[in-house]
Amino acid sequence: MARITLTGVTRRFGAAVAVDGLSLDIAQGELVSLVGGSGCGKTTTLRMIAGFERPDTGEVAFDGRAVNDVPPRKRGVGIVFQSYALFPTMTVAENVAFGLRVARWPEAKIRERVGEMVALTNLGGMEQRYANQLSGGQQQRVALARALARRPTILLLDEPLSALDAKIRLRLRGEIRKIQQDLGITTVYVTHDQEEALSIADRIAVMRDGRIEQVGRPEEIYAAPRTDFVADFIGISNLLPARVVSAAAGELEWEGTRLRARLDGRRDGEVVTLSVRPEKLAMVPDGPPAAGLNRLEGIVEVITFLGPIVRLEVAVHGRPVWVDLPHAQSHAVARKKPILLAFAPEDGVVIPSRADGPRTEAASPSRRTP
Amino acid sequence: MTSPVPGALASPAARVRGEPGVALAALAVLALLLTFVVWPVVKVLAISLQGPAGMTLAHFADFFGSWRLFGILLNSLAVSAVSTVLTVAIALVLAYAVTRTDIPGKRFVSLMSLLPLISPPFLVSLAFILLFGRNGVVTRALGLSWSIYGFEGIVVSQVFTFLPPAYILLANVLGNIDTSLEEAAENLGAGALTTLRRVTLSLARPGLASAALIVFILCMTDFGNPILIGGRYNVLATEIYAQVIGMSNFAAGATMSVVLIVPCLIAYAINTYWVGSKSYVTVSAGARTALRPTAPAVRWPLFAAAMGVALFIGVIYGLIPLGSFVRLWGSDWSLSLVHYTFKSTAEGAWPIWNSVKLALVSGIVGTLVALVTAYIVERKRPPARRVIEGLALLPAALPGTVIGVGYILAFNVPPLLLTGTLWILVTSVVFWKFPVAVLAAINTLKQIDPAIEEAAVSLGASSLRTFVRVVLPLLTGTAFSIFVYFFINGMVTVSAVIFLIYPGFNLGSVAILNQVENGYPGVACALGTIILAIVIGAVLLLRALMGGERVAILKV
Repeated sequence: MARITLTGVTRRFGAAVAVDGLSLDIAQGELVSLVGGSGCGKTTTLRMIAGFERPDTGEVAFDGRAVNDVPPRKRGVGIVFQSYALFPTMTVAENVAFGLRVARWPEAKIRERVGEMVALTNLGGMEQRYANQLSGGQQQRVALARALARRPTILLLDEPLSALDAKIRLRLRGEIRKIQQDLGITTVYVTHDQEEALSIADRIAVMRDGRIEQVGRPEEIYAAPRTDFVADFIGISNLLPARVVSAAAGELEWEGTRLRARLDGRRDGEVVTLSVRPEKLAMVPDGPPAAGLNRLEGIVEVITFLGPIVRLEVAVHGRPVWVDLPHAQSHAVARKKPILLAFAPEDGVVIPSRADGPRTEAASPSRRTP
Repeated sequence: MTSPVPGALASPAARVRGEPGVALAALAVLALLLTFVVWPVVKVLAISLQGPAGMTLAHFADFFGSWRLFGILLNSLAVSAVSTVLTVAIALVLAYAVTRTDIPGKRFVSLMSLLPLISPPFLVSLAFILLFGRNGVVTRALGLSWSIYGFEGIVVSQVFTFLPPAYILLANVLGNIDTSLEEAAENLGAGALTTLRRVTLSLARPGLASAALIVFILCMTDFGNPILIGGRYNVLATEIYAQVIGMSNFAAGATMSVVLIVPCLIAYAINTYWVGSKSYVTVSAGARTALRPTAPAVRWPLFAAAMGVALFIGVIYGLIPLGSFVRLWGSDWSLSLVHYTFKSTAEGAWPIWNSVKLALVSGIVGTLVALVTAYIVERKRPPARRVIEGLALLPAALPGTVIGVGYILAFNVPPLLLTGTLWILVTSVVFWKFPVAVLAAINTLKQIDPAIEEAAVSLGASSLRTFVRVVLPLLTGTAFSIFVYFFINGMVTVSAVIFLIYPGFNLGSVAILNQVENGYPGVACALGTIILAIVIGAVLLLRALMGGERVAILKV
């Protein structure tokens, strides 16, 4: 299985820069998810690894060997397209065998390999069907079987589950991950769905405007977003624009409220964004504040039932703040009633403002709906 | 064909019973179709089977027993087969170049491909005669004793006449192929040729079959090109004309009409019921249509081919006005307006104005009938819906000459004595050209959410009021497109109307044929130029009035 190295890769379409000096190292057998909104360059990056797009500058290398000039059909890369791109004139078996036929495998070995792939992807009994006789989930598996049949050293998946129902999406996500780990194949997984990325990837690269905003393990990305974009894009977060009162004392001010957080390396008077996940906020009883906790007072505006948890939208100083409470506590809250919230200083992630200013409005909370 | 039906719970009969107006309209449409589509064909069949002593197959025995007559059928089949193969092959190259590569000048190619759709169908022949005829530019320049009349002439003329419908159909098929399919093949190791053969062309196969069958019907039924440039090479369509008009031998004409209908109906049936069910829908969620740069070794040959064909069509249509301004083609090249005085004919320019009259009346009548038919078929779904739809589309398989013969036979006796009136011409244009118009209206109706009508009905509007106030305004663009379609056909059609014109009422398109036959190609060019100018002018005028793209050129 191959290692993928992207070095300073740039791809322009006319005046638009789709991928802008992107560098990324993907280890053997690793599954890296490229995640971001539409137009962030994630698919173009994938297509450059597949060879369908040529970088204007920079280098794509497999195992340290530059492949910029290697045509797609000689790269040994398997790809699953967003539309699956199953050949409608061929049966499932013919689709899976296509790459093997082109490579002039002997007929007996083709049949054997097709059988293996059909078993691997749970397509037994479907071999003689055509794509239009399959469900979306089955089509997706055929696309995967076809991509893997030639024993590629790299697997590329372009939004492979975006056309499927939520339930099937969850199941196939698990199947893809299992197959990928069993084969130990180096995989790049493009998705716009941050939850999908968090659940399936060894590492996540959050992309925006053709650049990687942050790359890291899912837990890192979630717990320690380095930019307000990442904090906003991955999961749900309250992004509070605050001013550093005293970096040494770890004190900030947000909407006239004093808050405490880790402020290493920040300057007094600097404007930062304090990111607090809704589940890190807790409802606390009235009374003297517990030592060291940040406290927010607000009015409950909206109560949303989400199964195991209840999500509140609380107006704090007229600004909405999202809070997730365990279902058991929901009886204690009511609309238009005051509420007292608290969070530990180490649960607030301080994100410095960009030199060029935040590109998305750092409103609180993020506008994304759960 | 199915779409959400308004009031789907009620049975078709119940729905219509509740609305006597709709039932009446459905009956009226059915009666019109039976009269103007079925009855003429039945008459042709009856005459072909009629002997002095009752029913007989003697006429068919005569036809198949005579080597000369049977040879004409073989001629028709041979010329149509060769024309079809060449047309579809060229159309495929053009369509591939325009839809699957990034050659420059695609708009020009598409525009040129539309030109033959709005011109008399035999102007291509006229242009080839100007180039390669006995006094043709090329023939003279090279001092050739060969001229283009005959098999070769018919084939080249038909190829350029029927390229547009084949090109448009294939461009549509190829243009809708998900680019990911070709990329998937490439990713799996396939080279360019393997991808083309196993993926792209494999997907286009139903489209190719459909294009071939449609072009085959058009070639079999083509009348204008063979009569102008066929020389001594007879085909069925022209022989029918010679028998009926030349020798008043209706029995022979009707027999040949039946012989001509059979292969056309077979091709039509294969296309409608077999190929139609085979097409692949490849565009799905996440499909890519963006193209990657084409390899120069592929791009430039394709560019040359596409541009060559487009430019040649341009030259063909440039030759017609040029020929009209040259004093004597082939010998006296001085410019003159002498052909526009129409001194060679006692009719002068009247045939043109007759054509305009026919075109306008056909446009209005045809549009109304087509819209009502489509509305009833698509929205009201009366019990006889399938029959109405089938009959409305049937003329697509009927040769114009057969319509012509059939109309003479069917409408020369009371109570339907239409021969010698404008109405026989109008009905022949309207019902022969009905299928394309009805399909266009049906397709537009399918895109209008039935809930809009249901809303009107739920607010208390009647069926008629709903149609007039709600549906009709949404159909305006399509209505004008249909009007333009009938108008163009009224201006340019020749094969059916040539049987039906009457003394004192010649038509422009027929007059062109007369002038060529009488040895006045310059006058023919002048007539052709005026017809082209009127048609293009009418299309541009309506587009200006209605706002650009709302008025489309409907295709075969």
